[in-house]
Amino acid sequence: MTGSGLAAMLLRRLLLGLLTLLLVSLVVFAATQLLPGDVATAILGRTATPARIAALRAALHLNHAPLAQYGLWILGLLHGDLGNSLVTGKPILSDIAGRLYNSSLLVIITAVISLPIAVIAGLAAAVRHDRATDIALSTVALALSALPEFVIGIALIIVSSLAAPHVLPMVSLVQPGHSPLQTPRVLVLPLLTLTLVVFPYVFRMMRGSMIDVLESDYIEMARLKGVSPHRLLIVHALPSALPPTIQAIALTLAYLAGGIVVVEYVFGYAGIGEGIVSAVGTRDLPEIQDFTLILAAVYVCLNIIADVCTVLLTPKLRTRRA
Amino acid sequence: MDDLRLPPIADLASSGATRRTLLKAGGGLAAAGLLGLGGASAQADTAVPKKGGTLRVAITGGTAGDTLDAHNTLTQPDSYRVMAMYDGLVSLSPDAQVINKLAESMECDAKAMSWTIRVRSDAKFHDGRPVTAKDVAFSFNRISDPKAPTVGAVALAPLDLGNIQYLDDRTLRIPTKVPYAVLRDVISCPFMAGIVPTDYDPKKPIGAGPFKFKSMTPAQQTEFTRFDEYYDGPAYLDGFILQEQFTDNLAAYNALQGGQVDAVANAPANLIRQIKNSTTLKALLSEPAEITPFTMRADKPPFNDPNVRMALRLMMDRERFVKITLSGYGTVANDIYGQYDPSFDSSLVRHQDLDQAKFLLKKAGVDRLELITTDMANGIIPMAEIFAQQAAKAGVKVQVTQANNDVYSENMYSKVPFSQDFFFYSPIMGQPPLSFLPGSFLNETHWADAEYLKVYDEAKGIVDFGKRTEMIHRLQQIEFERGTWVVPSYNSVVDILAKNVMGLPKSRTGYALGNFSLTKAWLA
Repeated sequence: MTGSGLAAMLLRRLLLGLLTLLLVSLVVFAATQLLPGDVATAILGRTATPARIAALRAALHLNHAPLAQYGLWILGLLHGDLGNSLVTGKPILSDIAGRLYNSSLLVIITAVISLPIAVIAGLAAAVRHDRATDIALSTVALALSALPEFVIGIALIIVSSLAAPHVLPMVSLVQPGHSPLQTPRVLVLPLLTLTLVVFPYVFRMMRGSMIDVLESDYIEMARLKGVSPHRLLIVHALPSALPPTIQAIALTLAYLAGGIVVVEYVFGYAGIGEGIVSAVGTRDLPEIQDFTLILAAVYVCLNIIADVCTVLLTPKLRTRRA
Repeated sequence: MDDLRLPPIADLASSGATRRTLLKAGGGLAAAGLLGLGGASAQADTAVPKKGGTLRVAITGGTAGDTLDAHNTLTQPDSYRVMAMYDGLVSLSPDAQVINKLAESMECDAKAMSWTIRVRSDAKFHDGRPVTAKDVAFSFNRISDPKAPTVGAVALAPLDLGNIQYLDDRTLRIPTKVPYAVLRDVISCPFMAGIVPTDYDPKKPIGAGPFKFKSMTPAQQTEFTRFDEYYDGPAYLDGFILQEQFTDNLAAYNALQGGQVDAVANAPANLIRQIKNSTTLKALLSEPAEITPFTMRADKPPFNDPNVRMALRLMMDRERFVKITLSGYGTVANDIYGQYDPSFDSSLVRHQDLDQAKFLLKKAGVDRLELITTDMANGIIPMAEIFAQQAAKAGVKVQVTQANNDVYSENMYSKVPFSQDFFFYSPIMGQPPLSFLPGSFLNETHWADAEYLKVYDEAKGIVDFGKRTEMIHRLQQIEFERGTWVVPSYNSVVDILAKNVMGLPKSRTGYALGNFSLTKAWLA
């Protein structure tokens, strides 16, 4: 694929991505319409007398038809306006900015810690295929991949509270307006949870594809030619084994952007995930839409980046005529 | 099992359990029978209070819609914010009596046709302005605004707010449309009738309470600082923070263990056992205060038949109910409320009568009921299950359906025929404006008993305490005979505190942290 071919592919993927986002927003909107109650009844709760509900609905412009509300929201979005929260009346952007920062911190640090570990462990297991190291690592990975993230999170809470109480906070309180980095202790358990959740997928993909590559004919040939084991592994085998792993990493990161919802909830960490849960609770339509759209956008972007990397790393795809 | 035999109001985890506190606990147990005797005992904190520090209180139940509005509270954190920022003319003391707060005096005339209210001369708002008669009038009008009535509107409805007279800067006379002698009782609810200045803006909230607002991130945290010019003695604390980003009480408790907060307000009673041997935590146990009624819609079958309501009341083994659902931290109740009110009728006692219950249910042809509820307060779900167990013995199968909290409050609350609710302590005459009068915001049982309403109307106009008490007894008699609540117990409310949190009194109202007495709290 030539440079212009790559650009064409990028453009196509971006347009498809935008279409996906539009569809996602429609689906989310339809789903919110199915939720019982609306933001007015959610705000008023038990004091929701019919007169009060009517007054609040009028004040929040909920009297417009659902599609008109959706149209207004999309129109605002096209102007770069995320809208105001129906519940607090404040611009959603200010709420999202802080939460997005908190969540990205978790995702990025998790990626920086867990991906190299998983890739290296995968390599090690592949090289020592079927020996003690491999069996031990694979068993651990299999066990971890069978556990949902909330089980891992709660187990970590229990273990740390019994083994070393007061060392690690079991709830990740972040002062509003402050960075979690000011109290790094609160990040430890959520990071550990996410790392353990992410590890098995990348590890197993790396191990599997590396084993395949190491058993292929061209590696056998190189080995017979006397290429040093390190050079064989890093220069000859790794580039071929990486593309499937990159896809796995992209999927993992994309999963992190969504799976973080559960982990943030378990630890009470004020990120995007916790924000979505709270927005759904109050039926805050624009906020639900904005939050989910951001997660969807992250998902789409990561997939595009992964595809580009795969293309660049795969000679067949790279040199294919567009 | 030891727990069950302990006196229900004993403060088990109180560090310095001296002979005196134990004696007081014993006295309190007796007082539960002889109501009105024995004041709420303070914790035996003999040390001299220390000034300074910020108390971090964990509390659950906050939502993104949380508010600072003085008269429109909705969630638990809302109520406590309002209690910290705004004072009313009167309030409930920790031992559940109605006392003057901003009012220096508040009296009605001999026929209860007008109230003369004089505001304290030293009372100030957070911006330094004195509290005046005009502010009182403004606040009452705001509460009763016909366009946006608040929870307190029904309680103020008998007042003729259009014809207020101002006797001087801090004295006003409010005429009433009908004789109304119980105004002090009905506005003692601490989150209903706070006094705010005439230019009040809930976005920049100003009140005359002991703490000033600093910042709020809804459902995450709210910060307050001490109001140094508070007329009733400024707090020892520099301020306090409500931490609200906990998914449940257990997460809050975890944070307390980890030293991230200093107190968990309204914690589940079973935590008391867990911290029994803790060196860092203690429990603050209220006297039996909260009620958790089973609510039956009087306008829907089968509960429109008073016999069915009576049967469900008769089938209960209340002592067992208290032992199991409250771990003994409570006392038996008899389907009525207001146990610390001087007018309370303690002669109304319900005895279990399974045969009669079976008979009544059979007569009404009821053998199956659905109790739709949600986890709205500590212990609610186990209570529903024990109720179902006990009902089975009377031959009625009660199916407990637990709904999601949001779905419940939006679609089921006050709509389903059979449910549960919870209330903290209120004087007897203060509860009907919330629950049983036409227009009451929390009238979930849709009870409209003509005789009951007539007796309430009569009672509210009687100035003489003795005569009013007689009438209140009739009111309670009606509730006892055919009311729409099953009230099996008065529940103690539990807060878990770090050991260094001192000065909070034992209370009888059920509001967390000793009637939310944060002016008395200090950090050792």
